[in-house]
Amino acid sequence: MLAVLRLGHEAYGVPIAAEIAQQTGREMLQGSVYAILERLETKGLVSSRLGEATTQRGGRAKRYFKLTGEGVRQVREARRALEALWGRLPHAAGDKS
Amino acid sequence: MITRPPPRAATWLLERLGDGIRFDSLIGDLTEQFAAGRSRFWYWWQTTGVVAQELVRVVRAHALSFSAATLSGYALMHLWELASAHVYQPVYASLPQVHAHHWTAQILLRVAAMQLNGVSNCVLTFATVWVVIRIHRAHPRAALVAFVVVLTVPLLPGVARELMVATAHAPVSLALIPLMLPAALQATVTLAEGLWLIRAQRYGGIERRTRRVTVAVAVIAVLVASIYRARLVGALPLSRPEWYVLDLLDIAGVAYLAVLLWRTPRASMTRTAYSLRGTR
Repeated sequence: MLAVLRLGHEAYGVPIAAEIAQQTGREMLQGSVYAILERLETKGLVSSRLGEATTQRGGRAKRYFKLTGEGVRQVREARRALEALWGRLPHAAGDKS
Repeated sequence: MITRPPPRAATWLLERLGDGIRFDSLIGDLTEQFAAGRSRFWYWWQTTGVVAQELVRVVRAHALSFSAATLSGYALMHLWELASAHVYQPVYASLPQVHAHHWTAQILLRVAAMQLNGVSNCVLTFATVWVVIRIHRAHPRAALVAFVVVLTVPLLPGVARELMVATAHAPVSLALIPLMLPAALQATVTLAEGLWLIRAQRYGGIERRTRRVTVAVAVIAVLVASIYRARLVGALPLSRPEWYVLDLLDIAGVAYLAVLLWRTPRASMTRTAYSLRGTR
């Protein structure tokens, strides 16, 4: 969801997978990316639309994803929860600052 | 134009696996990355991953209804066979004695009853296939193929045994043909009927050629059935090879119809379907 949010209007399969690989250091199967995004779409956190079909893609359309209002709300909530958890940790446990 | 076309077999596999909308963009993504320099191994690795995921997803989500569909179909077919054998047994009894008399009222009545048997078998197969695809609505084609396999596999040991006998005693035994023809006919007819039922909900979408072939196949089937029954009562002398040719013609027609009905919708059609779905 963060990758979709970060990529904005350019969020389709290839850059989403690349973004995840770049940030986590682990390459995901393209099918897994779609499986996760479709699960999120079923839950109403993400929506998708078909874009242009380019010759480099063999005439197949790109499927663009974007976060729904509920998706953005859930991301914010998750961030708040994570920050609260990190804030409660003693400095020695994980943060030098 | 794509500078490097991706492995055709892998793309074909993905196209057949998905429902068009789901996999079209995924295949496009893989094609784009392959054109950008990814290896053939990478493409196949991704394809294998998608196939494995899809299999696990389908089994987890639909194992129960899938098994129920195929087993119900199998049980129903055997029930119809038993009932049919019981009801129509007098029609097929003492046929050799009938051979002596040609086209008496009694023989005509027998032929009519045999035709009725054929029609009822056809209707019951339709009903069975309808039950199978209704129980497993999520993947009607997969349920149908599994059902056809379940129907055909029990016939295979007999065919294999004959094949072993035939290979041990050359030249090849003709006994194989009467074993294989009914199995092939049953499989193709069940498949074609099921595919027709699956697509019947959108009758208007069926191409003119498919409709014409359907009519032609139905006419051939009725003709072959009539000739077969006339031969059974001795009213039409027909040698075995001639009869096999007719049977093969029947099977080829039904198989061609099944291929026409099987064809997946084009990408443009799936795009339209997708955009329509999105507007609902």
